[in-house]
Amino acid sequence: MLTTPVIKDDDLVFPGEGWFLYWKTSASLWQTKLEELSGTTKVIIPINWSFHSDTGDRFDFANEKPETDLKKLSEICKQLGKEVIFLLPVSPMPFLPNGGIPFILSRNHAKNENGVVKAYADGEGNINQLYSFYDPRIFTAFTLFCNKLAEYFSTSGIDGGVWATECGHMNNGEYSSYLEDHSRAFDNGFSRFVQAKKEEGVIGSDGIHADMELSLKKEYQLMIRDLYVQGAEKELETYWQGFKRYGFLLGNSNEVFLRTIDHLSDIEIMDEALDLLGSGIYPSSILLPSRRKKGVFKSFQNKFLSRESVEHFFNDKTLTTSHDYFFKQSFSVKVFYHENSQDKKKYLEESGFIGFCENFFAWDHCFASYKDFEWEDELDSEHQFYYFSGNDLDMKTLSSALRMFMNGINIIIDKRGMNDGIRRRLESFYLENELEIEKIRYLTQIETISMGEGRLFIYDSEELLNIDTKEEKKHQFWSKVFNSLDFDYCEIDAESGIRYAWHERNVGPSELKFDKVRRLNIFNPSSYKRKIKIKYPASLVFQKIIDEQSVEMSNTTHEIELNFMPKGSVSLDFGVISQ
Amino acid sequence: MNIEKVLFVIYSIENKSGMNRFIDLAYSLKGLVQFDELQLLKDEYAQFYKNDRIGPFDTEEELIRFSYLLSEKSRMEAVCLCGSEAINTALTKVSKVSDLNEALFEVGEILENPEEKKRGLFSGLLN
Repeated sequence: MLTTPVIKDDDLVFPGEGWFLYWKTSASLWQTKLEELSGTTKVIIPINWSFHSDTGDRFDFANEKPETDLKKLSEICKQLGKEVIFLLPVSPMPFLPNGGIPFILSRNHAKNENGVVKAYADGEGNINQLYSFYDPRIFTAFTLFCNKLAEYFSTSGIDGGVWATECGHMNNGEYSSYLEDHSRAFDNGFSRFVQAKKEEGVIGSDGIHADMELSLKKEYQLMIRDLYVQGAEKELETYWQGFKRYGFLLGNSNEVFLRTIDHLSDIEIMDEALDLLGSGIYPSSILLPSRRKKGVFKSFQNKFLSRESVEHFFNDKTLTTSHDYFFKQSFSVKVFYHENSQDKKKYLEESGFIGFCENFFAWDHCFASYKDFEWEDELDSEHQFYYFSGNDLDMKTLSSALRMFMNGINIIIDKRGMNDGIRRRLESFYLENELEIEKIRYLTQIETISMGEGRLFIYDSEELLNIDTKEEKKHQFWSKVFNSLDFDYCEIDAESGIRYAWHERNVGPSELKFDKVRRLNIFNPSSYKRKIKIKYPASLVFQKIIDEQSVEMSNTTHEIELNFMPKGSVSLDFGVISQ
Repeated sequence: MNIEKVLFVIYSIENKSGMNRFIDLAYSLKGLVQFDELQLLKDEYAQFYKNDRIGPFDTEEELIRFSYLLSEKSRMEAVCLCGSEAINTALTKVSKVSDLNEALFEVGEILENPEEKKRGLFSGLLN
């Protein structure tokens, strides 16, 4: 039986995903521990602010505690041929006491919208309370810490890169930052922010209504986050690498109660992880008790939170060619949206596209923010379709989308909410390039254009809303659209509780008859027997089955049936035939 | 009252919807009450179940009445109502999840279900 090697790192010092918690072990054991960390060239080291300072104004960098010696740590990593990635939290970290801030500054609790203190259980069952990052004393102390950290890095000659890291969790399918806060400290700052807006004339004399308040609160939260990020960047300029977000599995505030009765669901954990990955946010399993990191979750972790995926997450633009042969998660559809908008997915949901994707492209569609959109980066990507809402488009993003189409990429654009300038730009694009437009009327006006391998599909979802609000009708619409786009896909019929997602990799020299290799990873995190049927198109060749755990497979021409026992898992590899 | 016979009801009061009360979680030491599996939330109280929580309840009495109903369904003798104040006290008092329910039991509002009490009395007479 073929199996993928399992990495053993689910202990206190290596809580998973390549993280090394230096304060959890004696500095004299660092070398031995790090030697055990196999299969990766990167060591992720979250900087524990409170470990280096109790007071916020006195610092220990290798002065008193040997475990604060980050120079020694980076030297050991260097000797072992590993690159150090320092994570500098710009939000509370739920696995650290007081969320990671110095003890003496822990005065104003962060609270949720119901006035409940934000508290989280870590992997060992400790309850960590979070404190408000909107407390001006914390911000001042944070910038001082960054300054001292930079000074220490510089004088001791540390050459590791520093990434600012925001921590959060999934909440009803959306990422929620631990910076989100409803404490008095937040309210005080927010009042000043609103006052400033009033003085600027942004807010009229009639005051602010509920929706506007929500939107302003979000704006204020992001402004404060950016202040932390900019403060850190300014101080740590020489070592600055950028900004990353982490999502903590079981990081919701209700989880602290569920942990008291040991109610931890593999399905929930997996769903959170898949949602995070589909939003371009890396999951962390650090809050999970180590006994939960076994069985089906271990198989999942080994596939989706692997060493290779960590490398990819931190170095996606400068990978060496050897990375081409690693499996990377792939999504057929990529949907762009404005992450900071209050109704960020409203138009997408109302068009029925999201609902359709959840069925048809289950765990095979991802979301991306316009903030990180560079069309050149998309040219080599594995996505088969890109979706843009007209409401979100500006001249730059529209031009980028059209350039992608000209480069053979399939683009779907919804005209709903598009302003006149953008509409005119789109029309002039047709004329300038003398494009032949095929116009179809099916529930709404549809325009399709083909150029080389690329298809441009433009429609107006406004009409879909007017015709029929039933989801079924919208689903039918999208099914017909994708059939007309000649999309080769696997028909997957899975019983409830089954989770699956795709990986793909480039082909090696012995596989040149294929374009690439796609891997379907399937899990049954439920406690019941479950079945899944996969009908695959002629363009896919079934290659092999690997990592079988409690599953039986039957295979006929272009159809595979898998019968899972509870907590079973398996991966299937398919070669994609060159067209 | 024995902690093992109590249903913990974690509720919140939402200011934005006019001080309405919502039940966010209900559990006993034996396990979680799975709201999505409760028949009463599929039938007569279906309109009270949205976004994984139960509500809104306009008054404390309504919240208590529904909590009693949940305790009956889970065969518990009493409810331990925990609002933000009780939760905050408990969370700041303990440092381990294993101690949290004891703390909630101390600071939450313990309400014995009168119906269960009656039933307990009769079952005692019959035995």
